[in-house]
Amino acid sequence: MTALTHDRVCRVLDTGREQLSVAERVELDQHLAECAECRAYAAELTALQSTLGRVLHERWDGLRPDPQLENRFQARIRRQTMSRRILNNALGVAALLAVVVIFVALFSARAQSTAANSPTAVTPNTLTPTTLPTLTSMPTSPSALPTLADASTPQASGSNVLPDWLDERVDIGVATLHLHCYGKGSPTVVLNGGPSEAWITWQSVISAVGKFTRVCAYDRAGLGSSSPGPEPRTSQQMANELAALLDKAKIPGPYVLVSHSTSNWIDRLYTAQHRDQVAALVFVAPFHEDMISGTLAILAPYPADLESTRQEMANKGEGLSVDDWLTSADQVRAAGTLGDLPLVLVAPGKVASGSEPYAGQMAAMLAQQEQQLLALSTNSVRLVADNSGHFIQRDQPQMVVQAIQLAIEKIKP
Amino acid sequence: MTRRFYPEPSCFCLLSLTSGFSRQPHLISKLDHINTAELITRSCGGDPIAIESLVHAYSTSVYRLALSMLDDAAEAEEATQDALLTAINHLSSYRGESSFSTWLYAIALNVCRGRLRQRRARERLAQVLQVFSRVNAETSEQVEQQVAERETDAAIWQAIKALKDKEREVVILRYYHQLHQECIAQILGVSDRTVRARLSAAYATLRVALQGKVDWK
Repeated sequence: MTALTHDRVCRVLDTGREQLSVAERVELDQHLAECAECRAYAAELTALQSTLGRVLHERWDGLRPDPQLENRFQARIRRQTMSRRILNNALGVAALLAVVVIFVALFSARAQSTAANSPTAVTPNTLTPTTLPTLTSMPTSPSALPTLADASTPQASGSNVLPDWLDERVDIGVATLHLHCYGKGSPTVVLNGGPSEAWITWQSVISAVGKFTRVCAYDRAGLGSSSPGPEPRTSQQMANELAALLDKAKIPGPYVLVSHSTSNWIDRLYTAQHRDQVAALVFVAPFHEDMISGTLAILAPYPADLESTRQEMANKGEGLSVDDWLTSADQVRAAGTLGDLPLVLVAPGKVASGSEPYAGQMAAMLAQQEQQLLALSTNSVRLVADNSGHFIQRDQPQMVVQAIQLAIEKIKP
Repeated sequence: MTRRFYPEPSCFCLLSLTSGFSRQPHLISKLDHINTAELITRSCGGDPIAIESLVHAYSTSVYRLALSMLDDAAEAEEATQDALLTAINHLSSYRGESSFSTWLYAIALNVCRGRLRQRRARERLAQVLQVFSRVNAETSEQVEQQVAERETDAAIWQAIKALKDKEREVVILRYYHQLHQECIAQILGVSDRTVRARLSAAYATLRVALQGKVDWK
C-alpha cells in the first residue's frame, strides 16, 4: 500500500485530479489499484459528478431567454443613460447660472456703491439678480427632473401612443415603483399581486393578455425592484400609491383591475376613489376583508393556535402588523360595494380543509365570504380553476386570462 | 487610475462562461472577437454603442447564471437586467483585479442571492396566509413538485435543491457552468480551500440524500 491515507484520497478525489502534479497522479492511481474501498468511492464519486452535470444541463439547457430580452435591456439602459445625461446637463447649467448670478450680484453691489459715490450714475435696476432664474428654480435633483416615463415615452409629447412594452421605475414622490407594461389597446389591464408577491408572479398572464390589450404589472413599494414606501403599510396607502403610479406613468384608463389574494382590498379602495377610471375587476383566489377577524374569532377557543397565528402574521406580512391588516380591513369595509361594475372571481379548485377541530367552521366561513365578495357587484360571475392551488396565475394562467377576457366582454359599450 | 485588464480566456474559461450555449458557436465566436478592455473603457466614458456591445456580449451568460441560481426563467430575466444595470452603473469601480466576467458573475450572484431571500420571504408569507385561513391550499411549488416527482432525475434535483445555499452555489458553478475552482473562488470571494471544503460537504450530503434512490452503477 502507498503512503496515501484513505482520508487524503477522498479529499483528492473530491477536489479533482486537475489539482495534482504528475507524480501525485501516479501515486493516486497506484493507491486506487491497491485499495478496493477507495476504488469504490472513486467510482461512486465519478458517477455522482457526471450525473450532477447531466441533470443540471437537462434542466436548464432547453430554456431560452425571451428573444426580446436583450432589446428590453438595451432600451432600458438607453433610457437610463439619457436620464443621467439630462441630470448632468441640468447640474452643469445650474452651476453656470450660479456663477452668472454671483457675478451679477457682485457687479450690482459694485455699481450701487459707485452710484452712491457719484450722483450722476444711473440706478441699475435692470441688473438686479431677481430678473434671472434663481438657483432654487432649477432642477438640481433627480426627483425634480422629468420621470423616465416623461422623458422617454411618446405620450409625454402629447401623443397617446405608448410603446409596446415599458419597463421602468416611476418616481411617485413617496417611493419609486417598478412598472412593467406590455401590449397595445384599451382597456388597460392592471395586475396587483398578493402579499409580498412581486410583478413577476404574473409573467405568464402578461405575455398572453398583451396579445389582445395593454397590460401592466408593478412591484408595490418594498417589493421586487421598488423602493420602500411610507408606513403604516395599509391597503389605503397602497391604493394611493397605485393611483400615483398610474397618474405619473400616464397609463391611460379605463382600467380592468386584476388582483390576487388580499390585494382585492387595494383595488376596491382604488375603485371607490376613481370609479370613473375602472371598467371591471377580476379577483383571483381572493380573501374577503372579514377573513382575518373571522379567523381570530374562530380560533378564540384555541389560544395556542390563535397566538401562533397572530405571531406568524405579525412577523411576515409585507411590513403589515396584525393591527395594520385589521385597519386595512376596516378601510375596505368602508369603501362599500361595486354597484353594477363587472366582476369576475376565479376560485382555486384544489383546496382541501385541514384536520383541525375548527376546519369545517373555517371552510364554511371562507365559502360564505366568497359569496359576499361576489355579491359586491350585481354584475358578477364565478369561475373555478380546477387544477390550481392558491396561486392560480402560476398554476393555470390561462384561467386568469379567460377571466380577464370575460370581464372585458362584460364592460358596457 | 490605472486599470489592469485580464484577457478573458487566460483567467476565465470562455467556453465555460457560455456552457449553457455550448451548442451555439455563433455566440462564442462573437465573444472571441470582442476587446473587453476597450469596451469597458469606452462604456465608462458613456459611449452608448460600447455599452450596447457590452450588454450584447454578456447578457446571455449572465442570464444562464441567473437561471441556474434561481431555477425560474422569468425571474432570471429580471435578475439579469438588474445585474447588468448594476454592473454598468458601477463600471468605474471595476479595477481589473479579476477578469471582467468574474466581476460580472459576482454581481449577478449577489443579485440572485437577494432574490432568493425575497422568494423565501414570499413563500413564508404564503404559508402564513394558508395558516391564517386554516386551508391546506396547494401552492404552485407543491404542484411543480408533483410534476417533477414523475421525472427520472427528480430525486437528484431535489437533493441539489436541498443543499445549503453555499454548497449548492459551488455545485452549480462547477457542474453546470463547468468553472475551475480558482474561478469559483474569485466569483464567491473566498479561498480555493473554502471552495474545496464546500464541494466535499456537498458530495457528502448528496451521497447520503441519494442513498438507495439512485443506482450509481
